Amino acid sequence: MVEDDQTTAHGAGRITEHALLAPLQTAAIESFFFDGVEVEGRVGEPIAAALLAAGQRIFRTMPEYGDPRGGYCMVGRCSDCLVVVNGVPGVRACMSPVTGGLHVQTQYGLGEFHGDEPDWLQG
Amino acid sequence: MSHPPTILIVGGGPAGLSAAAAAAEVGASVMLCEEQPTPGGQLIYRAQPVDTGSGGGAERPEILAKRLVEAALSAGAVLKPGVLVAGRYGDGEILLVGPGRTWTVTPDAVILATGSTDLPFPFPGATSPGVFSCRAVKILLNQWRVLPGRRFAIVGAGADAEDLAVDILLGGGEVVWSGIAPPPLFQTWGRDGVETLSIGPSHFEVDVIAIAVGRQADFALAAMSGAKLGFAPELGGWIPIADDRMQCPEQAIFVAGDAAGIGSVAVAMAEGRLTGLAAAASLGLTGAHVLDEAREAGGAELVWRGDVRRGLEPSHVQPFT
Repeated sequence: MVEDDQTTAHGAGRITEHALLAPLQTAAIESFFFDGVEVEGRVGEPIAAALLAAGQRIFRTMPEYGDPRGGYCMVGRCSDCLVVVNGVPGVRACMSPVTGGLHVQTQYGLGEFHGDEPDWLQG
Repeated sequence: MSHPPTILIVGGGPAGLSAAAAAAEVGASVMLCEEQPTPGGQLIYRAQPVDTGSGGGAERPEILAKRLVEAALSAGAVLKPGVLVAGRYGDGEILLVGPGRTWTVTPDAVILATGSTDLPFPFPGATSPGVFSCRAVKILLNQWRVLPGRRFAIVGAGADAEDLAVDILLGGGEVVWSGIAPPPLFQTWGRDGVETLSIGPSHFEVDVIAIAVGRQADFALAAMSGAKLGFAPELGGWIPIADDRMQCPEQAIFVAGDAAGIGSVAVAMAEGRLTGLAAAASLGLTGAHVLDEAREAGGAELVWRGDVRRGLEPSHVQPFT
């Protein structure tokens, strides 16, 4: 059973009742941002799950021709779901959990690194 | 011995967890590494009850996963979720990658319970957003309670495809088409992702295409360690060649569960238990009679898998030559 007022053009949404599965442990609902737009997610769920539930299917574009990609494998192996998180590209949306206030962006091609340089790169 | 022999188990699904409990129970020092943050393997994204083969009826997957984790922990195994086993190198040194750190270990024996990966099915448009592997759809529906769309097409006609169809219906989705045909007959179009799917002259409006053409043993670590692969269609395709003790000849590595050939949850548990005991026996912690008992208690599927393996020859082409 999906809440009808929360579905998108292609019918994505969240499952609120299930005949076999016990309800999810309640996790806080937090807002994060995708390309500047506020998206709701449950703390701890993968960014990919929250984006797909909100109807966002494109996570990145390919370097050579710009063709779009969204998730595919959901287990951290295929690289279709790479997004930019807080300025850092190449983050697997399917393996990275939602936290409140995260800034997630579409990764165009290989992306550019705008985050903090890791300690081991200095000196 | 001043300290107990060490066994590293790669993979925390039903096979790995069962191996961990069995090996720890007979005195091995066991560490289990699971790359996902939650152990349980396929149980974590399974909706339908599991027949564990013990004659007690079907068990809910989340209850079974908890039970297997608790059994491993109370036997004394150390579980490390969120840790990836990245490779096995000369002299048996193993590289581990965890959050923010990497390190190496050199255990006395290694059990590969790495499970399986979903087979691909390339066709025009298959890279479009909205095309997912079978396992990915289960993870979204069952683990995270997310419907990635309402109308699903399932490519595939085997047990995985049938299972997925039920999961989609349970989650509130609709199965618009399911079946199998040669890849060139498929095409999909859409602006921001999948909108239509054609198979030959037929067209369907769909939101999600699930690729459920089967799964294949995850043999990368086994092959990297020098195990030879054979091709067994009955067990999903390429599998590491292992003997009756679940050991790859000439290597101190053991395999169990889907990593040793695609099978049921029940046989993964039974094979995991057998392999845990076999690895422990190879280190002097238990005897052959215990392995015979575990093999007999393992059921018909376990025996049949051994028969298939016994008839396997290494294939001419190997991934690492």
